[in-house]
Amino acid sequence: MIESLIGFAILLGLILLRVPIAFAMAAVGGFGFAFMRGWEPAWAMTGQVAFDTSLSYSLSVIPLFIFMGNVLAGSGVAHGLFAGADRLFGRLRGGLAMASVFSCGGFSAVCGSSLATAATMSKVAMPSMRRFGYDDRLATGSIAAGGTLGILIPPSVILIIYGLLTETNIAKLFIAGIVPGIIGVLLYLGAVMVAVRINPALAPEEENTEPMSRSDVIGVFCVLGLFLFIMIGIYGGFFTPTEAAGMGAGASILIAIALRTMTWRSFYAATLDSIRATAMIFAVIIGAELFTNFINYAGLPDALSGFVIDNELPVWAVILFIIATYMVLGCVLESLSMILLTVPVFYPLMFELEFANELLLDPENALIWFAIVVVVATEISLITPPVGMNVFVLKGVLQDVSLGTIFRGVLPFWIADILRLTLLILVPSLSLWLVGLM
Amino acid sequence: AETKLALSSWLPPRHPIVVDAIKPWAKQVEEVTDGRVTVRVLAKPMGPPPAHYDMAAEGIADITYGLHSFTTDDRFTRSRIGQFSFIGDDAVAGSKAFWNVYSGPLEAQKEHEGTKLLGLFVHGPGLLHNNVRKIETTDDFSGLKIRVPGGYISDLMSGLGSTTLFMSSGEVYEKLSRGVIDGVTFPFDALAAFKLTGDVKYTMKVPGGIYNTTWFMVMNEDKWNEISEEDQAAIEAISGEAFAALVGEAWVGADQKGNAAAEKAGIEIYEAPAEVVDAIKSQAADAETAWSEAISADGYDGAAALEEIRKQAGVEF
Amino acid sequence: MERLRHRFPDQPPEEGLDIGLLLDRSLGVGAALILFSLVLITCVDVVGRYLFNAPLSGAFELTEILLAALVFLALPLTTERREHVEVDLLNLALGRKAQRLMSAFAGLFSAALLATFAWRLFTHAAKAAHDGAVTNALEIPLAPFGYLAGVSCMVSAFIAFLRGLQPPVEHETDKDHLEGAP
Ligand code: NA
Ligand code: NA
Repeated sequence: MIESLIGFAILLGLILLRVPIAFAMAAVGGFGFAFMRGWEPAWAMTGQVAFDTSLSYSLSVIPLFIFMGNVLAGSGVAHGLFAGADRLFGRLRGGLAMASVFSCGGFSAVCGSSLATAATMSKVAMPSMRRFGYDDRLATGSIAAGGTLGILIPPSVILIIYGLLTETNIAKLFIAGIVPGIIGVLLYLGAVMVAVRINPALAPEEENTEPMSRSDVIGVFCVLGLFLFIMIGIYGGFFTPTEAAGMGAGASILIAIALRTMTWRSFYAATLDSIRATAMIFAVIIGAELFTNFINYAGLPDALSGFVIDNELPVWAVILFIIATYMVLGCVLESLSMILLTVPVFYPLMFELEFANELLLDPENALIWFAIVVVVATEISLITPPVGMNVFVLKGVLQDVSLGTIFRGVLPFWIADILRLTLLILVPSLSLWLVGLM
Repeated sequence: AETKLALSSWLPPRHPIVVDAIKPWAKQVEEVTDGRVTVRVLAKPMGPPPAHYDMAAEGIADITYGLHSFTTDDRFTRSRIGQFSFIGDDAVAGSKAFWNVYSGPLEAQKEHEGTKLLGLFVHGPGLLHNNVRKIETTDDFSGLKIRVPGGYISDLMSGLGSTTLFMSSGEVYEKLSRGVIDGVTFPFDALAAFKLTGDVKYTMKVPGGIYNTTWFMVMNEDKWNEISEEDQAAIEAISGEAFAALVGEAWVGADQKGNAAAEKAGIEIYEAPAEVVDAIKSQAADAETAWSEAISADGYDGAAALEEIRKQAGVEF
Repeated sequence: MERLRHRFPDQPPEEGLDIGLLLDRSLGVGAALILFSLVLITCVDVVGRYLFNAPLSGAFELTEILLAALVFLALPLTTERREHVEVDLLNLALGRKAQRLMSAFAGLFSAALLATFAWRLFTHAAKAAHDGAVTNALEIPLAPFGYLAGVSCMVSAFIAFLRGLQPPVEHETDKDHLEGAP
């Protein structure tokens, strides 16, 4: 128990010294395990984990969904989404910011990655907002926050990883993410309205919406068609979620070919981007596996369950504690590392405590609901200072905007997120309603 | 001195084997050694299921269990006796016979290098489930796409004319409900455990099971040697045949639940017709002969062992 | 980096090691072909079973094996571009010299860790070769993939080591290597 806490402390120290998170986790996990069980077992574990982790059928969805998102990003369909959303909201004050949020939600429905969504939409939406004199705070805030929608609206790489960690049905996790994702979009739209009402200087009074070009319309149909293809494929029983990734990637290549917007060069670049992102994610998964093996052996999950049971802590206190943990960790870590590090610790707790009974949910639904809550909690961390990955991505793209500006611009959306998290915790049926219809 | 052992368990925490066999056994160890040896079941496995044998041998965990067929090399050749058809009508009889024969005349401990062999067992009799047709003649096998766990049953099914596919057991539900496969070989418990009752229409039984899978439970050898002789004897008394009975009971309970769920779902459960059993017998005889020859090189009598295991398990076929 | 650079051509390119291009043209091409194969295998498997009632037998194992190869072919590329997730919290507070020191520490730490992985993977592969470990149905030997993984970690360790000795010039905005996380 105490070893785990020391391990966590050293891990955070290494991360602050700029050691890549994956390598920091692997090192602390390996040394921690060696300290507790000896060198031979630790060496054996290192080789076994490094090799076996990548040899996995289910994890093949990661490169495939990422590839699908990157090809679509390169094929320019995001521009059509933005133009379409602008037609919807253009007449309202802050219309372009709403269009950004809305099209972020739309693009994330075919992209598994939050950061790819933020990077893509910043390129599409930022120039328009600049041209019409939007305040940088609102402009960047809406894109950084809009990008976080991507990990809840299916397909979602994070939900897949949660499903594999907890042996939860991925098709059910995906469908559970839809309503909370839509609530997220609606609350973000509300956040823009409130923000411009409070401070009208954030957005111009007038902005003329441009008509959609033919390619914009085609782009919207491509995204819509691909989303339906994936959803009908999975829920109509034509292919499994794992296969959906490969089919979706294949379909996105066909879209790129049909649209003729990608050059060979940009297609190859999108491929290499996907490949490197894959290795990055697997490095994190391998590191987290080593670290959680150490934490597991040191008995942290058991100690936590024991503590809760011995003290007869009520469910709400435990949930509050878990959320608080995510808020604290979220200051330093990003979603993937957080999910990989914490879910193995918290998930046995959910089992041991018969949480399901107290929540009036069956155990499988409890795990699905917990997934949504956890993912939203980590989503918030993407825009929480000091380390908000989506904010950083935007900062990388828009060199002339300061980090402080983006973090200030994100504030209304951050408040909307907290509201959504509270709603989702208090009303589990928001997440489980569609699952029940399956 | 006190010995604290960590057991890595990869089955879901509520699986009957974990709840009714592994955890009770862990408690028994503590009781029979007056607390000098304790076994802690870890909250999360220390590696993927197939790695579990090596994990015990290399000391990543102290105690592990798993399937011999996870290991695709030739380490556990003699364990294959438990995979054949007609091995046991229930998991208690089958497991006890498998322990006695494999650990006795077939010297299982020698194949479990680097570990102390604590338990050997099989699950309930294997069945053939499908959702296309009732198998009444040997021709009915052909064209069926059947998921198999590999090994003997894979050869048997393709020998009978079916197409065999391999995938992890967790994938079976998705593939069966989407028509990628027509059927699967599983014991009764898996019908309930993997929620297959809605997608299966016919379940065929064969005396003693159409196949089985063999399981081990092992402890790291160095850890075992740390334990006093007195405590070792106490642990051995609750392991081996006693553990085979304990884990067998757990399987039987799970099989009963699966059987009830199958009946409730209206699945047609039937005994294989004589013609089909004969076809299986002739296929099985070839496979058994090939296996017997393979182990005879090391001086083991496979045919006698098969006769013995079937006699002990009380299978008539 | 590349992604942002081709999207935002007006940005100054980041100084990369000279081996960057070489890696892209060797490992990168290999990994790209594997990624295309993964897409193709799934599509052929799914389409095949509807059009011809003939699923691709062995798709499951091929996918597993190809994924392992993809991950390890890509690792040196990710390392070379410094696209592993890092946290630059202290950078804002530290001076240039301290930043360089920290960068060197992180690089050498990564190199040591990757080298350890390489060693362990070689040992693991040797054991797999000795045991004759193969995949379940297609009986593809596993040891070569272990050796591939080991070599990949070695190359990555070497790259991280160079990075440690010679940290690249820091841009104020060197945050975009975070891109690509889900
Ligand atoms: Na998404
Ligand atoms: Na954060």
